Amino acid sequence: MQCIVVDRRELLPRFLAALLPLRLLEELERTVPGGMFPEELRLRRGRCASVTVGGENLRLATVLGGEEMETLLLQLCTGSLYAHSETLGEGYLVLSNGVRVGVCGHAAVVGGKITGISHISSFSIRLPHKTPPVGGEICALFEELSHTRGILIYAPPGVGKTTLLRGVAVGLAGGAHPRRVAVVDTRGELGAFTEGAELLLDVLMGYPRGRGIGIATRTLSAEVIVCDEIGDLSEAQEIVAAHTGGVPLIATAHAAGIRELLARPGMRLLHEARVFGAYVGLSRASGQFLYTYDVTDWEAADAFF
Amino acid sequence: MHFFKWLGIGLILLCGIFAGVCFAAFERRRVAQAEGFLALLRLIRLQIDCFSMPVGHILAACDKEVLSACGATAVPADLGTMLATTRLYLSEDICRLLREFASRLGGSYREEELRCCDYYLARLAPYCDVLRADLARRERMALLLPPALSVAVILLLL
Repeated sequence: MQCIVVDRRELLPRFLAALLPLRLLEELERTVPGGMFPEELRLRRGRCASVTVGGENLRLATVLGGEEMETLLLQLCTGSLYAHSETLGEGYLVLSNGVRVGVCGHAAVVGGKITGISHISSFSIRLPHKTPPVGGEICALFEELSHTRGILIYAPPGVGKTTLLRGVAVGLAGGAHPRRVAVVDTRGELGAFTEGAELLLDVLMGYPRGRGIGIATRTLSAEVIVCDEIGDLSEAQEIVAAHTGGVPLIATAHAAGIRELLARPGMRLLHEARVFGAYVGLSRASGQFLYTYDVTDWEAADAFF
Repeated sequence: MHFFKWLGIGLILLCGIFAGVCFAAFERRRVAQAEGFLALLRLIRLQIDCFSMPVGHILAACDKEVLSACGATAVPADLGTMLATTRLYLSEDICRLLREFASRLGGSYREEELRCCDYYLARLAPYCDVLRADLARRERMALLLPPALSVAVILLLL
């Protein structure tokens, strides 16, 4: 499994730094405080770029023009825009090293489906970092649930759900008593694992979540499935089907609180099917990887319905 | 004296024959390269149509014989690089066409890419057909003309 390392001496992965204008890189060097690392870099057509460091947004003076944005898009697509049209329609690109780039611009829509994006207006580049081992608490909670019921981790964007989920997958797939872990990596972000030949991991890269969960259950005989950002009703139905196959799911979802989470479409279906034994609210102090967990078990969550 | 005269005649004749063989090989090479590029463009179109495969992957997975027919000595990173580093035996128009195609390849979505491939295939295929049909005649010309010129030179000198 490929290691995504942003070296402590470099602010950006080398392959990404090679694509960006020199003036932007130089400004990043001057702007990012010593010892800290950018979590996200935003480039905007005709507007200031910005970088998020330690939870704070820092404005950069660099402004990229239209041609630079279009050229950068083609470079991010490794010279083959058509090969990424599916993910571009969903608003993102997955680069070969697991870096995810959000893309927006003018959408061409046919029959309600986005068929292409032109006049790119911004890129949002999420930068994974090598972190200390995380997720031990979630693994312990999973143990308490006797490995039969899943866990849903929720938090607003940017808290570190994906980083935590990676740690959980690695924790469960490694160690003295490893489990067969299937990772449904729809957006290619979970794949930024440390290289571990000993990990019992099966990664379904780019699979739609519902389909990936079904395949992991039916054909990979996974003991646990890990999946990021579950959300809609169609996924909920596939997840329920997987759960009746006896495979617990550890997943994440966007939500600021338990009420907001349980009010989402599909959550009632998942809750009534007892897919998740616990709902874990996540928070984190800026710039650190120390998570705070707010655990709501199934019985307590039932009171919200 | 006679010896050197005959040696000279022999050398001039040999040069003519050698030039003829080279020109004939050039003609064959030109046809092979044109057909190689035609096969490559068809492959690119097919891979985009069926798999939306990135250009780099298409070239990396391409049959070595096709690349070799195009004149590439190594697997290129992209088509533009391949055209820049390969000796092209084709006409100036076709070379320009291929460079145009290389610059446009990969810059649009699937449907547009397929239309682009079709456009350039439609312009390359007739050129290949003409070259192929004309090859026998051009080979004969190439093999006969230089030796004939050598004989003419010999006769002029004698």
